[in-house]
Amino acid sequence: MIDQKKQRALENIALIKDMVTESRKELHYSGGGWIAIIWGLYSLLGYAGQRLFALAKLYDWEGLWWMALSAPAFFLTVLVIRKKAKTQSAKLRSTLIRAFLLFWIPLLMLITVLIVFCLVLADLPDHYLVPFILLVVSTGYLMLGFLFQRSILIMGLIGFAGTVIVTLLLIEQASLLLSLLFGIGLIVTGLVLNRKR
Amino acid sequence: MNEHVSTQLDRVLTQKARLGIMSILMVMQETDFNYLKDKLKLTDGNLSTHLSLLEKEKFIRLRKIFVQKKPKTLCQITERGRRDFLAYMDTLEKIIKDIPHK
Repeated sequence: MIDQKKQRALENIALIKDMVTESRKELHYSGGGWIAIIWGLYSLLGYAGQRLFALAKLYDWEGLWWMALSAPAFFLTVLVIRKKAKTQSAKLRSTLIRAFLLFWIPLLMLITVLIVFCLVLADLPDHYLVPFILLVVSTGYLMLGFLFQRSILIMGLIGFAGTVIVTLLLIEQASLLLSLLFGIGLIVTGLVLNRKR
Repeated sequence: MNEHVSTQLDRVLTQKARLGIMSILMVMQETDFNYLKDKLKLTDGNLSTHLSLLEKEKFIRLRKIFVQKKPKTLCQITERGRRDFLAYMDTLEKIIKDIPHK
């Protein structure tokens, strides 16, 4: 009788532990792995397209290519978020929406202003555009990383430090080096996040 | 107090499904019907029965909302549910600690 009671208590504790562990993992998984992979591929494809247009001497198309590539990247990101939201708890959904509004909206505004400055102000050479954008993006990863995931925090630190080093020492190769750094870095971060799930 | 709580919860949580629902809600606080159905691999009818019983005992709160004109049932753990579940966990731990090894 005593053994039965103890056995049942052990079984219940094991079940509670499994459910709590799985729910915690679910609570912290937001589809961020796939989103990181999408934007990693965006960086690599973006740079590859830019180089091809440069080789074909179609310089006006370089910026358009990046913009055109942004549309499917945003579309796929929204698709991942929507798919995940269907099974997410209301608590997680509201946390993610708050995080998005808190960090990415002001950061996107900052990126837009920096792009406009680089295009409008003659004193600001436009090859600083990429480092500016990536410093802001890295700041976003740092903030999200501190809140949610260590892998995102590491990506933010590498991105921030890498951008500073490349800007100070290798500005002429900034596009190539930073596209590779962010492309590969984000894909690796995405794979790590998906594996941790 | 603890003994009363544990007896009451023990009675309600004899079913593994209900124990699973309470464990998930302890972490998630609030989640929807389909999420629980998916995680616990239960049928609609089965899950409804378990949720109704937990609601009747005031361990959880159910509310219906409409998202894009589709009804959605949200399940939220109550303060009482949270408190009693923690007490239930203590009781389980005590059972294991109190019983001497052979």
